[in-house]
Amino acid sequence: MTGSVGYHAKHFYIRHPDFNDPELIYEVYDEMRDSGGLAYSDQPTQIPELTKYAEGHWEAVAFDACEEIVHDWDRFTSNASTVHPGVTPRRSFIMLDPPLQQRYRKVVNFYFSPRRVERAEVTARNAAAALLDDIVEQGEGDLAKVAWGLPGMVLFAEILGLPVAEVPICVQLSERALHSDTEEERDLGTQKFNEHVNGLIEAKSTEPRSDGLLDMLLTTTEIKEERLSLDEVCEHAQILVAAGLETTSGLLTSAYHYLARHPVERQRLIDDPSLIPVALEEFFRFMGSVHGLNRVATQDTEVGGCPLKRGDLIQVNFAAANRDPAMFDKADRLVLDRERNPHLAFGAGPHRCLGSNLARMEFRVGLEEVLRRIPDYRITDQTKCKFVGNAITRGFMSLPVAFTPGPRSTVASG
Amino acid sequence: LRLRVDQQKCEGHNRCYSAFPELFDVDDEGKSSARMEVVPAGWEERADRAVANCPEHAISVEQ
Repeated sequence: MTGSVGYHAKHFYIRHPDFNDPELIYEVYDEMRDSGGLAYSDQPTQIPELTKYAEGHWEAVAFDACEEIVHDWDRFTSNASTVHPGVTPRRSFIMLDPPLQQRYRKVVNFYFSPRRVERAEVTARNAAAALLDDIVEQGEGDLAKVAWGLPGMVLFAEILGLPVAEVPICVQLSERALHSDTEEERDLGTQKFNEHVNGLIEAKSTEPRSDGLLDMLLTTTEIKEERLSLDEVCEHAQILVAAGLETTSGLLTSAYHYLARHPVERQRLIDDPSLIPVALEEFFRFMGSVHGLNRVATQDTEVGGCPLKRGDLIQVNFAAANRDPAMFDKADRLVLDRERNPHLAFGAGPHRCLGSNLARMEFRVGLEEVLRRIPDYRITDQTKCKFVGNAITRGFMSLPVAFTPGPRSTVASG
Repeated sequence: LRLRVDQQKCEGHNRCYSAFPELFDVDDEGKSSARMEVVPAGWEERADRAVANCPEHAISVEQ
């Protein structure tokens, strides 16, 4: 059943099936923002476990409010178990606060640094070439397959140190975990996904060591005084694999879809590739795939004129912040050459997206290669472009396109 | 004009480095620093854009 914008603004629930419409959610954000920096919803956040501790939640929808919250981990913790002792404590650094969180980041940031990412670009080009080779001679294919394959191949080979052959099965399992229709199916999917990733970590103990991040996590004593436990490494592997597979892929599908429907904009990028570095920040702002992440208030406080109580749940909505007209001119328009663009698509503060440099490179390569090799692609059947928007990450699951056939690449695939 | 990156505030987004590598450098952890203390003549606009696009407000340009 489809609710009105007004309904969703009062009862915001990111899992609502209405949000499988790509645009509706942004109208809802605009309406929620009219009531202040934070809008109360009587519905749960995307973390089902937390509904036991608070009936509804606050959705942070204004840029200023989101920025204030993510910078103040003292008032807004990522670790819900410090305020609600019944919550299962999580061990990955995304669910921790400084200073321990910063000890992790100091060690892992290196693997996602601009220099490391620059080195990985060749692998991204080869991955894009191989994925496009699968369709380029036929003159038709599914661009979602290109988008969902590319980031995983780079992440596994260049960053984490996992076999590239594992990418398709991991993509499939993580889709089930995130996008299944019922909470029960998603829980089961998450369990299967976690078991599979744990298996990959356990296999590492008998394999030759790689210079990947996960091998480092298994042996480092820099974070704690002793080595991390196998469970701790597995929990990190689960979140790193899931976050790396779903986020940039979702955005790439949205960008491919947008450019198919805006041929003048697409032609601008084809005619002037030097525009791409500026344009890609605008894609991140305008259609970034990760909408909300959670915090818990550690004390009675106030943000943007809104009183909060200790224990209140807050979903920091970066996508809503990025459409805030108080911060961005023509916030509801994609402006390819937007020069002033301090968007929050990767969050900010100590939890700034670990993979932001990698995402930027993968997205740029995914865009450049498609525009170079199949510049005239068009969507063949809009009704078959399946968009999933009621999840932690949003994107198209299929994008059937046709284009002028071209030759396979000369780059060795694999 | 003096260009400065506040190391306490920088969280390694690298918006500055990816847009203007001629003005900014990064270390192995992704922390940014200014390549030069004084912004060369003609590059003022680049420095201003780096300031405007830093999500951490870590970059400053002062007389």
